[in-house]
Amino acid sequence: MNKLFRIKNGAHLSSMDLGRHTGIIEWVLRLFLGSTFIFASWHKIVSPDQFATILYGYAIFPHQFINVLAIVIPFVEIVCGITLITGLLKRSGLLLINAMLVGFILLISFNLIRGHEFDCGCFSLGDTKGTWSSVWLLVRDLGMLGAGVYLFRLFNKKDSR
Amino acid sequence: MIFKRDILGCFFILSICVMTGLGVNALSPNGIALRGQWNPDQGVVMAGANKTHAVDVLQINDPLKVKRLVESGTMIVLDVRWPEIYDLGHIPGALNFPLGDFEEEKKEMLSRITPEDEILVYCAGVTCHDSHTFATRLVEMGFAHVAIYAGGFAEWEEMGFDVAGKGTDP
Repeated sequence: MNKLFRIKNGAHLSSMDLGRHTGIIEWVLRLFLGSTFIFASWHKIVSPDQFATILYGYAIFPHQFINVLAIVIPFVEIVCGITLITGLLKRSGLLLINAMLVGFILLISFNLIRGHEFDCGCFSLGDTKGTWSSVWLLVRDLGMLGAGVYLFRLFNKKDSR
Repeated sequence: MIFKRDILGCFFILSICVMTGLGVNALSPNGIALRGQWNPDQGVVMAGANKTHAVDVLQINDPLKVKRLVESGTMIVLDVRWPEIYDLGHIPGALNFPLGDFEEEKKEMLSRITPEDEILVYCAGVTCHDSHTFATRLVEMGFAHVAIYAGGFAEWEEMGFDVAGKGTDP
């Protein structure tokens, strides 16, 4: 069963080593995405009024839902972050994180296309506005989504063994 | 592959989040109302406090009325934006007490205003909360006649009213 894999420098890596490396990558990604979402949620939980104003600034959400979104979204972020780190319901937590990232990407893209400037409110309240800031946000969220999708594939591989 | 149990897990997490979020919001001193005021035509747009902690402050939405009040000199006007922004332009006669320095400048402020004075507070515009927060603090300190100029400096300037700059106040 000790099937061998050849890697670029010509060295050999056993499936056991590969599994260990995959395990480390999985842990790093879980820790990275989980802690990022926990960190991002904190200021929104502490100041929901400011987060609501930021959601208003996106000029997309129906007014009657802004407050409820400002109350609930930070808790979705923190709970999903915790599930990813603790491993409890980690697949569902990761699905929600990926869904949120897709949502953020669509929001940012839509506002970029129509030239609407907004505060991100991602990690602090009152982030810099501007086109380049939005492009950077988009790149960052796409990177995180890539990590999230890859992590979900790792979960699937592990579960199918 | 996404399994049925993953989807069920998502609903379970979302339910927990909705319940926890609403519960924490109801108990938190920073909690907000379930519906905010997001129509700029009706005054300062804001989430609004949840009922337990709400303080009602009068809002003036008519810039012409604000102009009359300012010109009559019957009200003390407070500009709660940062000094650098205040220096660039402000309502003539307005005193500058930034919200961010509220505690530090409280003593100085109380030497200039009394709870019996009629006070008008403004900040940048309808999306700016600082005037509301500042006015709420004054009301909690016992000031009885506090109002907010909802449109703030953005509307004042847009209306083409007189603007005072650094050192140009009478």
